[in-house]
Amino acid sequence: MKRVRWILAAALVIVAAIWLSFFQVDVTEFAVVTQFGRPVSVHTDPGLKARLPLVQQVRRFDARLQVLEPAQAEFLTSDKKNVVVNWFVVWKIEDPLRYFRALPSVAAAKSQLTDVIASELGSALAATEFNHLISTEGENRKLGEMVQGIQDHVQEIAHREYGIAVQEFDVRRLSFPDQNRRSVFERMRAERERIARRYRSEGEEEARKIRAQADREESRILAEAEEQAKMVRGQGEAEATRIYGEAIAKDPEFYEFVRTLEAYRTFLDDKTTLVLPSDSELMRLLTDGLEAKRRGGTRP
Amino acid sequence: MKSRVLRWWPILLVVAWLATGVYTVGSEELAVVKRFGRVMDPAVPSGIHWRMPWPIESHEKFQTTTVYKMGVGMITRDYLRGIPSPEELSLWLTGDTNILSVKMMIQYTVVDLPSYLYRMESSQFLMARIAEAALTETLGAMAVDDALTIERPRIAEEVRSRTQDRLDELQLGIAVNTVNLLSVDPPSQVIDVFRDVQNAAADRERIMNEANGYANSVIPRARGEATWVTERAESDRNARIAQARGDASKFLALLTEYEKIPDATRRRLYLETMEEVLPKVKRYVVDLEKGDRFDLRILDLENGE
Repeated sequence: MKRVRWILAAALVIVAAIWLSFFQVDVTEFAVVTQFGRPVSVHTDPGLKARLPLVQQVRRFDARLQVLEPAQAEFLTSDKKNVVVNWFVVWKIEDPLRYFRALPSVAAAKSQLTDVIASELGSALAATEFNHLISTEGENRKLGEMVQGIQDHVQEIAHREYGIAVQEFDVRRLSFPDQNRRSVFERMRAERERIARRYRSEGEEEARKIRAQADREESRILAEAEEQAKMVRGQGEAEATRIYGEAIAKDPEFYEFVRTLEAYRTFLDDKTTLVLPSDSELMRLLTDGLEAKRRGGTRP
Repeated sequence: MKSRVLRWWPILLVVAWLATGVYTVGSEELAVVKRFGRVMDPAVPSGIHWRMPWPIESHEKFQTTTVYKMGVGMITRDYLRGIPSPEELSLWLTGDTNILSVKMMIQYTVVDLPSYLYRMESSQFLMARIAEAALTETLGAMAVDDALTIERPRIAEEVRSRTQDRLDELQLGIAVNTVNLLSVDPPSQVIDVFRDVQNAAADRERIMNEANGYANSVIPRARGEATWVTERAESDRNARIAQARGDASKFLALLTEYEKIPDATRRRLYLETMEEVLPKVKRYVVDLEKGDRFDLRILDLENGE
């Protein structure tokens, strides 16, 4: 029984020794081993690591990507336009030792990085025209280029000074301060009203054109029809004349006689007053007797 | 018996300790196993598994078949509950310095579990920011009218591919499945005038349609009338010719008869005509010497037959 106790005590001591001599570095962290506050080794890969028990301490740092996103800030472009920029930066500790030495804490790291980027961004924007940030003309757009430039520069500073790797820097949103935004809305409003007016007057104009064309087409069709009708009637008249002519040619004098009688029928009616001399052809029988009939019978 | 159990208790302890390494992975999950903080197995499938117990190994599970959602231009949590987010969050500048309200929903899945879990904490928020940056870049190149109409489908696609590229660069283990454009609208301050532009466009169409309708009614009517006019002329011509033929044949028939006994026929025709005509007219028979003039005034006085 006593022996078992000894074995147990020995096992406990061994476990404690192992516990104090080894430590884990998680995949999400870096570790710096310090001896009396002085760094002696750096572990950037995860796994089981050894240290001198009691003498050496382990300081852990977050190895993961971190996002830094300060409050939006207002900047001035080279053409004196106010622009509000929301930006963010993705960073991670690259060199724990340098990071450890340069910055006492994460809060300090963030504020340092913010200051560096804000000043970079400020000077980049001060050298850029507003319509090079956003533009429908592809070759004018400098935003991507500017952002990349800032990223490269900040990357270099952060790496050198703070042991930080800047993985990504980007402008999340560009906007205007409230007052400028109101004037943008005013401008948009005016622009839309102009477009609406243009649409309406275009419609009017087009409609008038269509109506005028229709009216012109209508009168053209009708005029052509009239012309055609006249021509057709003329043909009829000509044909009729030819037919009459042919018939008349057989005995023009008799035709004239027959036609004259027909004309009498037409124009003599109850509104006509006719004065007949007693010696007219018609009355001659009445006045002169049968003799006259024989004398002038052939003349009507 | 009792002393036997007591003798074996260290072994039972070890067995119990080893048993804590048993874990289950659900059918929609994957698990990652780490040994001393180092990833040993990045994708343990569903089922019952054993790993070495704490503090040697540990595991972490995550639903990888689920499609997750992340909103852009809004507060995602509020949106999913139906609470409107402040409009401020959805306003973006277009290339022609207009402002548009755009909302998108990103649907993503986790494709590389260790990267998703250990490269970064809450990387979906970073994904949303990256998507916002992509939207700023995309809309900043578009004119407002294009963004609202023809370029509209391109916005989501552009944002999707840019976001995916950045996520891959950062190795976050996230795949963007789709980016849905929930809305592209003019901001509330100016939406009325934008609507009016649409109305104006509709008015333009309507006015033009009316004019076309007018043209479509006037021209066929004119054609109809033209046909009527020419048809009538045709029939007039035919009638005229028919009449001429009739007259001519009547005359020729008469002439044939006339030629047989000219004098008598002539006289008969004359008298027949007179007989027919004279009853209708007022007539006076005046006995005059040849060469005398007839004074018409006497007729006025009589005012009768």
